[in-house]
Amino acid sequence: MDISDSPEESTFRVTVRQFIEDNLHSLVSSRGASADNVDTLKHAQSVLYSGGLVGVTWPKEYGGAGGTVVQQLIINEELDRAQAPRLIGWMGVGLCGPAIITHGTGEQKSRYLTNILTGEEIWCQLFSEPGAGSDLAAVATKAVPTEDGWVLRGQKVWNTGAHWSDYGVALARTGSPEDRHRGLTAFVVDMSAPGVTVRPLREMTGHAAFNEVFLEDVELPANAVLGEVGQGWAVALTMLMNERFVVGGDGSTYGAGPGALTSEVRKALPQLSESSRELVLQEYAACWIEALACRMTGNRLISRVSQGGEPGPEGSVGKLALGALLKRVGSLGLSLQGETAVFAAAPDGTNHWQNVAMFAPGLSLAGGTPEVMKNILGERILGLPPEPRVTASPALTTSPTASRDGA
Amino acid sequence: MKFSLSDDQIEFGKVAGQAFAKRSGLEYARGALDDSDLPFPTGEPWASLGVMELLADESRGGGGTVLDLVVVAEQSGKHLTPARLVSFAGRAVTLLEALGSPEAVTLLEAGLNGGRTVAVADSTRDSADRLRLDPSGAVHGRTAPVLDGVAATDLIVLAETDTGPVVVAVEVTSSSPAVRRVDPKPLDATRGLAVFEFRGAAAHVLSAGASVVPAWDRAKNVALVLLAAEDLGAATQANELARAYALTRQSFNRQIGSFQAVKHALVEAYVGEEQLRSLVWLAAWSADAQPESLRLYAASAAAYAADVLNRSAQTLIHTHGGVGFTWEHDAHLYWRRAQVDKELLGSAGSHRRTVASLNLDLELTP
Ligand SMILES: Cc1cc2nc3c(=O)[nH]c(=O)nc-3n(C[C@H](O)[C@H](O)[C@H](O)COP(=O)(O)OP(=O)(O)OC[C@H]3O[C@@H](n4cnc5c(N)ncnc54)[C@H](O)[C@@H]3O)c2cc1C
Repeated sequence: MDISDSPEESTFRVTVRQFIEDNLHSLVSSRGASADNVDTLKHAQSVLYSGGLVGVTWPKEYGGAGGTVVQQLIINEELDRAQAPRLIGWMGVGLCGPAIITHGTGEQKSRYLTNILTGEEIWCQLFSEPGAGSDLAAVATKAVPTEDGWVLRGQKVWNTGAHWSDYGVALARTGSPEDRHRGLTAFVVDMSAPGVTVRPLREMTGHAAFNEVFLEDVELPANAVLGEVGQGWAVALTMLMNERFVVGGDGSTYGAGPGALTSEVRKALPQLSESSRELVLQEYAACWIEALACRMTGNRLISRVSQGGEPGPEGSVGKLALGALLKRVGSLGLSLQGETAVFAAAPDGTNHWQNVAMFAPGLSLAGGTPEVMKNILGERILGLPPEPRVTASPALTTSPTASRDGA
Repeated sequence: MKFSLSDDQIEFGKVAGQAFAKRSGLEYARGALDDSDLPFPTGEPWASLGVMELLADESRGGGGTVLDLVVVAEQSGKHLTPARLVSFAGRAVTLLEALGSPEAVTLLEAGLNGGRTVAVADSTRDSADRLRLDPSGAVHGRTAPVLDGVAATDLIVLAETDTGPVVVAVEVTSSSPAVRRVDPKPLDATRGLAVFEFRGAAAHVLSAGASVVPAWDRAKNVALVLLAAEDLGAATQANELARAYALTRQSFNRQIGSFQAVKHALVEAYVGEEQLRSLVWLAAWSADAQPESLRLYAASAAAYAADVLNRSAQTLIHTHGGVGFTWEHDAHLYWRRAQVDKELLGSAGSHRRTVASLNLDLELTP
């Protein structure tokens, strides 16, 4: 076991750090994506791409570097260290692109993949619906075949970045509802196509990063099908597995990194009474240790994947733990701010801990709730019996684990 | 980055697991609750595995790493084997090798060949009772509960003098009134805990000078990592026993493991286990490869281990319902281990203080 960088990794880290240092001004101009800094962030992504910092693990033929997951980890760590905002195209790079690589046609690969990496085209995930969240196989959006393609009708919701996206991967029903996950097909949706309406939803953070998406008789060409007709669940699984890995195991800390917490505690200590000082130190250390454990468990997973494994259900360990940690860290960060914590953040949104605390519940929910993660781990890793399914319809009983929990 | 055990280590773990299963500590743990005169085991099965000398110099048959020993400790923890691994193979061997004086080496060799049972004792937390060496070479004060104390023939202690701390050895088998051993009925007999009071006990100096404190601290931190590794093993086993029961026990015509309240509790215990495994391996790796980080990572692993084992033992009992609360079932043996371990070699709270003070550059007394 050697947890430190190998000589090659260490050289790589130096290069990455240097590149970020030299180009930092264009990257840290903004902490996160919002409707009015999309162009800046797209530019930042193209700059990072030119330095080999986007999609390093992607095969060379699709514009990647054919590098290792450990290199991706190093890039994430260095971006985190520089407090750079998350890639605006992270869903394309982390979720949709890999699905196209695995399930797409040659034509789809050459049309879409490079632009995903450069940030030229942004992608989103059009899975959830008002009636299909955890129970993703209840998707009701319908895709009806036409002479030369398909027509899409339905409504999606909670779609991160849909309002600045050029394309989305939608899950739609092409079979009967009783077929559950076996009657679904994945489509590439051009977000500028007639009939697509995107309405931003304001989140509890105050920002609008996700949306409702209405699909009213949206015409799609035949080559918009991603994977096989009726095999949309396989595409969904590829994306969900990658999502859990990207959210829980890839070294990103969503502002809960020990560094920011440490400086906040250091600042607050002189003002604290003797008794609250001890409580704060205990809670600070507990958060710090948990954050270390999250990072190290992620690194173990990455190390395993780099030796030839796939990101599997273990990614759910990280997503579960990180979701819980973010809430705890956000709450500690806020409590350290004393009186100012109870007033809304300054208009420039600079109150880091309010942002962390307000974002934390979202991280737990996105990509599968804690209950869904626990079902996955309980059933896939611990081998515990699945939940009994409702037996109202005979078809349901033959569909063993048809829910977002990734059967 | 290669963050996984080697094939050799995995194999070594398997062999150790079989040896510990054959002489499971569970029988001793249970036996000692009923019969307090049951002799405390100090030789087997560690000796047959050749792990006692693992951290010793190659000339003494050692040359292994802390991570190698952690692999064994996880297995010994799984079977609730008594404490020799932590107290001797981990702590005493590391300390005596680091001191390196002829006196230290003599004691080390006597410990390795089974002639003496050597244990390491910390001062009590109470400053009035702290261990002191007087100018005539006699020790005064009281120890914290000592791992393996009930069987020890020799204790190594860090004693204060007017000119700084020294490491001394005290023979504790003599009938001298200057040494009093107090070993009340233990909560978990497998730790062999006893407290010693010294009133002018004869001591011989093993080492003095500036290097004794770093040597002492390193050995204690190595012991902490091994204790956390034993907790990891105990938690893993508790989780496995709970899982197995959740698959067999039926209620309302269903396996209880299909109820989310049960399933999710088992998953939370499992997540804790995986997180702890990462911290234990990190700490062991640092002991071997990055000693300047050992204190921080050892304290992190130890604090986390206390919580994780507690939760796993609790989940084990809870999953079993009423039968889990009986004397006959093994669940309480894991619960006992959890209650005792979180107080050994410093409390979880004191480890968190260490983590906070190292990260914040504070001067905190642990
Ligand atoms: C910040 C954020 C970003 C998101 N981004 C996207 C996106 O880009 N694209 C997209 O398609 N979706 C996105 N989502 C949607 C997300 O995947 C869903 O919100 C999530 O899967 C939960 O579904 P739901 O909201 O319908 O809740 P529900 O499924 O209705 O769940 C409600 C409650 O019931 C519990 N519950 C449900 N089923 C079970 C069960 N079997 N056992 C126990 N408890 C259960 C849940 O855990 C939850 O507590 C996003 C969500 C958030 C919060």
